[in-house]
Amino acid sequence: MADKILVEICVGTYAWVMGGSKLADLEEYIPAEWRSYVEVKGVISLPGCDEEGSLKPPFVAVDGKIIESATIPLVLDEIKKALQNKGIK
Amino acid sequence: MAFKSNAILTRREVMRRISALALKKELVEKIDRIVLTMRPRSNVPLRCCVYKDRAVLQYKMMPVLGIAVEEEIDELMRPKDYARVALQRQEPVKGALLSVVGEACSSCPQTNYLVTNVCQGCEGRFCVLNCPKKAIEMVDGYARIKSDDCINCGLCKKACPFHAIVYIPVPCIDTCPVEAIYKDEYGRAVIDHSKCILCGRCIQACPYGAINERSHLLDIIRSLQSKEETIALAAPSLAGQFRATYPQLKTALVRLGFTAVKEVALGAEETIAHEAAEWVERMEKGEKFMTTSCCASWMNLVDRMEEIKPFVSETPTPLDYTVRRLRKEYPKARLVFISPCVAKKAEALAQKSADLVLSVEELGTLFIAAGVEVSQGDTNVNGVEASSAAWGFATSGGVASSILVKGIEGFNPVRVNGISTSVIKQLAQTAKRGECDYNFIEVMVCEGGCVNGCNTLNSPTAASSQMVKELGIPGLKCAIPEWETAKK
Repeated sequence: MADKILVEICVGTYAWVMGGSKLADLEEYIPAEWRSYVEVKGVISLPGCDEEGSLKPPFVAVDGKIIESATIPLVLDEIKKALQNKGIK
Repeated sequence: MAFKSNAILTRREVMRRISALALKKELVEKIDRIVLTMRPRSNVPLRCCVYKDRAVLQYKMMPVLGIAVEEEIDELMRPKDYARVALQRQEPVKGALLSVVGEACSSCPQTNYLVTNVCQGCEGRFCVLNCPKKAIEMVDGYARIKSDDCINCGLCKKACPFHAIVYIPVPCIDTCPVEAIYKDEYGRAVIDHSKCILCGRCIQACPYGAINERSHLLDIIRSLQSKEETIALAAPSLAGQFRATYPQLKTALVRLGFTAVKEVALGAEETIAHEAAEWVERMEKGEKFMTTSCCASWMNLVDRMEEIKPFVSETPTPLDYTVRRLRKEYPKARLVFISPCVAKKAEALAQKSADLVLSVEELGTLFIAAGVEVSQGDTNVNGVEASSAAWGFATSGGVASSILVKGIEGFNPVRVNGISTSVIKQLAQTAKRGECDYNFIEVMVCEGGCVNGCNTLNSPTAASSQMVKELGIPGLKCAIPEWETAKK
């Protein structure tokens, strides 16, 4: 099996308060057929996610690609692209 | 799925920036620059222009400073003038806690129905012919609603065979379970405080962030900066609000400057014992049922429902028991209750059970402003004192579950998991009849309980799951049947 798609959600206080808590239920929205290819974990800090940084919270990284102002639909779309890049449909 | 709202994020950003300046003691000098930073000319305006955006933002700062927008003295006063007033006050705000930013409001339509361009201008003219007020006319072959004549009855929408007429809600009015919001002659929302039960749903629902709570943030920051003892009282629901364990949260609060952190869940232990005893006593007297009393918004509703009053428990709340003990232990300390909702804030202030109240949302922004990373606290600091049953007060079914586990004979509970206009009517009818299929009715105005209070950060399901895992509470999937689905 190909390496799993790594989804890192910034659960640092800044990102959490500024909308990151809305991502808490992300795993529930990952389609069942994707789940074996995706690993979701919480991390305290992602590059650029300090409070005065240029990026807007909350932050999620999908296989290292940072998504700012992340929402569940945006993250799911990025996971879909990552799966397609790995030849998984 | 929980949706992100820019209006809520704007409020939090304002809180964060004001807190940061207050912590650095630069509030008066720099507060006026916040609008320029948050609403730069280079941004696409949210409203008609950047200047309107900035004016709205200035008004939104007032409740964060603890000042109601309705208290505006002079339109020329700048945020720094209000900051000065706020920093000089000796007592925290009193009176109505909700404040409407009129400048931000007025954007919702007066008429709830709109004819879209799906209108086919059909020969049937169902909308025109079935309107009881003749409020629909044909213009250029399409139907148009005359807003001055429309009474929002919705018959046109029902009658249209093309589904061309849509309902446009006024979110604050639609979400209010007690019809406490109306529009004034300018179309702006007005809160009828004689009806309002402070559930806070309108705060969350308003797409313009026009309804705000008057804050104690500055008063609390000043207390933390002083040498006075300032003790944080953590509501049970706080434990599910950050991606951190309760001991980590405690450490973070101490890093903010609180002298100590106390669990309100310890007071819940006493509430459980006394509530169970009161229920037994009432049943022995032949009473048919008893309702809970720990939801502050429910108690506000009870104040307006004479028929239900005799059935409401008289047992003091967990906060009440906690404060009774702490006032003896720390007679000189300032007690700051960390609250999930505005109703509990009002109750704490009215009953003097706390000196100041910090909402969970405000706490989050204060952590950011102070550079305190909650999840990096020590996980082993003093642990957790109260039982799972007591922490369970945070979720719907928690109070009933805490008594159910005592195994008292005949205890037959039901839970009202979120109030609505229809549930209010059903409860009133039940009280009038004096009969109920259940003998213990737990009422929580917010669906999910305090974990879904208007000032919380986490989703109620995620917060509940976190507390089930960490603290062993029964959670939202508890065994207590729900009122809406149970036979009354």
